[in-house]
Amino acid sequence: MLAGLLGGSLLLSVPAFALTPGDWLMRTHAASKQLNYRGTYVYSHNGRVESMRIIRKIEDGGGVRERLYSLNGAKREIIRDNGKIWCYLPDRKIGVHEYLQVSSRQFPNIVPQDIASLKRYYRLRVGKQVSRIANRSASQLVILPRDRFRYGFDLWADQDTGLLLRASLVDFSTRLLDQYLFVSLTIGGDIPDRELQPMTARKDLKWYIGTSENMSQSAAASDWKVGMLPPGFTLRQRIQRITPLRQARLEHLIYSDGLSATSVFIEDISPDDTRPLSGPKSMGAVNAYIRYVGNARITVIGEVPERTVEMIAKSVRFGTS
Amino acid sequence: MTEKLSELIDGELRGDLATQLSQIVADGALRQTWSRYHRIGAVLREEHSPLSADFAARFEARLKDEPVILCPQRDGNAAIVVVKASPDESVGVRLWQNLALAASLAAIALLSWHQFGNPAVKRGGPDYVAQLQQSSQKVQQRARPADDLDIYLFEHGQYASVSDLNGLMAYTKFVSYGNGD
Repeated sequence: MLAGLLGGSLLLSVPAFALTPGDWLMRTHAASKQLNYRGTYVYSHNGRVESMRIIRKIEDGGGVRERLYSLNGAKREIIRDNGKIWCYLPDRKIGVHEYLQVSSRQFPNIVPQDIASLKRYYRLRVGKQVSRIANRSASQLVILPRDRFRYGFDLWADQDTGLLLRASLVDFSTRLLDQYLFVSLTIGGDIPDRELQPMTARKDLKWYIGTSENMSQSAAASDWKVGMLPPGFTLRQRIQRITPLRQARLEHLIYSDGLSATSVFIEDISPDDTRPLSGPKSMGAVNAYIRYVGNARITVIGEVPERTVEMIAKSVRFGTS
Repeated sequence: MTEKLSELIDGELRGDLATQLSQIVADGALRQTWSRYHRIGAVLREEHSPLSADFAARFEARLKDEPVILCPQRDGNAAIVVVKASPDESVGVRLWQNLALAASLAAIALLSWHQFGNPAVKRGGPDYVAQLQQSSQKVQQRARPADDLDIYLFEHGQYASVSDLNGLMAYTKFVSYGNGD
């Protein structure tokens, strides 16, 4: 990781057009870990546009504090203090406190050898053009899928710092699925603690505290098997835990090709539990597929096409056969 | 002349109608005013949706006017072509203008429905307030997820690797969930 950060810092002095796709990604990845910033961006999807506010503070010891909230609609909010995360859902009058399962050291960690792997499943090209986003010059990286199991990306990063300013998700036919676009952004400067405080008081919500046992891939043994995956998708992490809300046993499998990630949730359900309809569900560019196997609910979710979540969900089996 | 236009709209214009109408038609500013009055009237009478059905689509199209990808992929092996549309430097400003306009028109639509759409309910009375609360609750119920997919979305957020390039932005979809999904 240190090498990655150092590499990212050195790459800041290289003109964007001279970067390889791997350099571009490493530079952007490093910028997201090193910079204080505050900004407003719009999230456009499904014919809707929502505005969001994000504030990120890197502390002296390298710790990260962040706050993300919606400027319209439900007052949902995420507060991060290093590895701890508080999720405010005033519309449901609850809050969920979790511990981040993944450190940036583990996953995702974009390193040069990963780029070679990515090229098997995506076409990557650094754009020659410069655009202006949130009053800053931005350079482009286009990542297009080689098959219909995953989506592509049209990314624009700040030329000076490498910070991502615009990210569009596109399908195999380059149809726009969703888009993040900064409309105002301040990079650097001190961020006072008050800007990182939530708008909803913790005492106003009923809190569910997550506890988890993070199991390594090799140590984890499970009777649940996923039979079919898109090319390049491998198991990155397996987590077994008790869900904070229902206190049910949950197995969470994370598969990724290095860019796109899909989660498989296998949750024990009791006969009294409400059973949402099985089948596909779309939330903008996020697709999910729900099915039931015995007393377990299988939910596959990810920023991948519907065919992908459906294929994975239908291939989940219990037992070794 | 504006006063005459107002009288005409209110059905109170007196005198030679043809002459006065021709004066209004000849005056570009008055023509626009006439058109604006009627658009507002149509909104209040619910003859037209205040937000045209393709508003969001057109908005997205405007966003797409920024540099775009053109990628002919008939066989999945075609070359990537990246072209840049003319830079749209004021997209942010126009975005907020559009959002402000949308909010204003939505407010007009809500008020007009309560004022004109349901004459049985006296505006400002207890039934009116109760109806407002009911409609608010209905909206919330529709938006409330019943399947905990939002919690799964939250759990998944930390693995949405590309979005991790910008930290908590990976959770945008979770924060957005419930606002109409």
